[in-house]
Amino acid sequence: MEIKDNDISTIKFRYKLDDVITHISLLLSVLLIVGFFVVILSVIFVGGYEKITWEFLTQPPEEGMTKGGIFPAIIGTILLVIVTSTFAVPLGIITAIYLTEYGKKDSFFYRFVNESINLLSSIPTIVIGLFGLAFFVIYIGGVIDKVFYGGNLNWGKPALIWAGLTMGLVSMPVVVTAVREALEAVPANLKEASFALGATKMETILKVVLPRASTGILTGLILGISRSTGEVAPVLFTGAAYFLPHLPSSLSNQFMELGYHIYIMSTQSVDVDATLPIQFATTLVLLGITFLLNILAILVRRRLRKNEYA
Amino acid sequence: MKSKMSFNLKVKGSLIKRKKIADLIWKGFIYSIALMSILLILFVIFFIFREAFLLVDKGYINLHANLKNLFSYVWQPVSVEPKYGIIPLLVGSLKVMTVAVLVATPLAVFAALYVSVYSSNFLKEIIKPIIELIAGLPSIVIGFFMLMVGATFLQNVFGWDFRLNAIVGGVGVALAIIPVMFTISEDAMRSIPKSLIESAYALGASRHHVAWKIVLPSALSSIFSAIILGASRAFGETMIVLMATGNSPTMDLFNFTIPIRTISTTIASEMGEVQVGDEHYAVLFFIGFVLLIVTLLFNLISNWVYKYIKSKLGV
Repeated sequence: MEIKDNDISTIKFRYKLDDVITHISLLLSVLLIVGFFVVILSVIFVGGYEKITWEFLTQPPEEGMTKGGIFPAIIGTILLVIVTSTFAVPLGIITAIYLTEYGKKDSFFYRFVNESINLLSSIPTIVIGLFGLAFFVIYIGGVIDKVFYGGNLNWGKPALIWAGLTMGLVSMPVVVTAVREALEAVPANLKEASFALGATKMETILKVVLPRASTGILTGLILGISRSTGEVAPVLFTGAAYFLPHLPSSLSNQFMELGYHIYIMSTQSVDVDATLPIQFATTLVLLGITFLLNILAILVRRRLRKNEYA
Repeated sequence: MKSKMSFNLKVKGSLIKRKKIADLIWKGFIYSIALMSILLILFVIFFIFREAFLLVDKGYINLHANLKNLFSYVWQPVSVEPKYGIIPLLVGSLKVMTVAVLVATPLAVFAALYVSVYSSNFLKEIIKPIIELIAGLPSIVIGFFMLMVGATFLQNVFGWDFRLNAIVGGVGVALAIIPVMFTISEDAMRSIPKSLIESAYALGASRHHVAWKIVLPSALSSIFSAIILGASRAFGETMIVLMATGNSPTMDLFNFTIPIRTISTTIASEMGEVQVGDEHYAVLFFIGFVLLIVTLLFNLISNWVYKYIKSKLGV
């Protein structure tokens, strides 16, 4: 068979054309995703930035949410994050240490732990919320009330501590995944050198592995915090309240939360239109917080990766 | 001199012993915390089942919440004759899932293909962090956007009768599941042996050949498991759906432009109205248990599909 010059140029042209079409359609999907994201950011920014003043951030809501600020919701969210992280971060880090340093990859126990963390991260957050209600609020809270308060209702109701614990189940897998990545990046020869000097495994982990992985652990912490700031479903029945005249003063109090505040204002308030600017501004605040946390995490992780391969 | 040396050895010996004991305690501590994550999962399943079991325990199953009622086509929990048909809720969840997966899959997979075949390193360094940022976007923010702006926009474009419907919710959920689908696909594409791609180029293949005939098929097992994981997320997604789909239980299986209500949003919006331990409460835990089991099944299937396709294709 003879191949003519213009056959080759046709084929070349076809290749070029297919290449360009593929290039454009693939690029288009990237642009669609990024565009969608940018539109959300800009719409919420434009809708909300005028409303954000110092007063808005430091005043409680007034006149049925139509005036005033979101101070209690911000404080409530911060308290929630603190309670959540107190439980989720240590547990997450230690589970990650087990998975990277102790577990044998083919043992049953390792596979169960690994699979549990995967499952935990894929259970719908609303189901986690149900679990929080059934286990923490009704069961644990009920037992505490029965044993210490003679049946008076103190802990067996939605409360900051139960919301924090429930949210902990949501943010723990995030912490595990991030910390695990950091621990796996610690070079084996460092650990071997430590063992060779006579250090036990505990000493090696505490004095060599963890300090070396500290930036990665920080990433895990930030991502965990970001996750627990943004979620609403786990705290719907375990502690969030629509409006409270006082800031929570004890772990057994209910609290206001930014995400829950947005949800209530936009779907259940009496006058949705009157609160619209406040809704946009509240969403912008929430978006701003999670956004900053995530950018921080990305920057920290980038530094970590650079150090690793340098 | 001699006695001093033996004393040193003795101290050293006890020190080593102490260290060994500390190490052992530490190991036990780590293992018990690791054990806790297994217990947590079992607890989640057990406690949700326990509350759902009130249906039988308190005899609700012989009252309104009988099996015929539970699998009927009407969800009307607050009425003289409460109706607890979960079929419309399942239909709602399936519809949101379908829309979300149909929208998210091509976008996520094509974007991953773009990043692994076409994009320059510079663009890669921009696109991947943006996807990470999207992953960090709270679902309440997406829901709020779809409710306030997205729904009106889509209604103006397509002229739907209902502003809030399954498609609006599904599009919002799609954005929430794109990052996880993208990440899994892109990871798989990145782990394809470089030699495979380079030999294709050496044979004169153009980039679109490499994209469609090498990179995409090689990552197929991961892409399928990513789709199933995304579907699982979409099936249980709560806040976006709660805000953007109109929240009313409808049965029409093929009409995507009517308001819907899913299992998750029913739990979210009705749990606040019930008394602990009453019939409605038990039914809500029952549908929560259904949701949990479906999610666990999705995960099993995702793992299974991954292994099956991998063994079939040998990649």
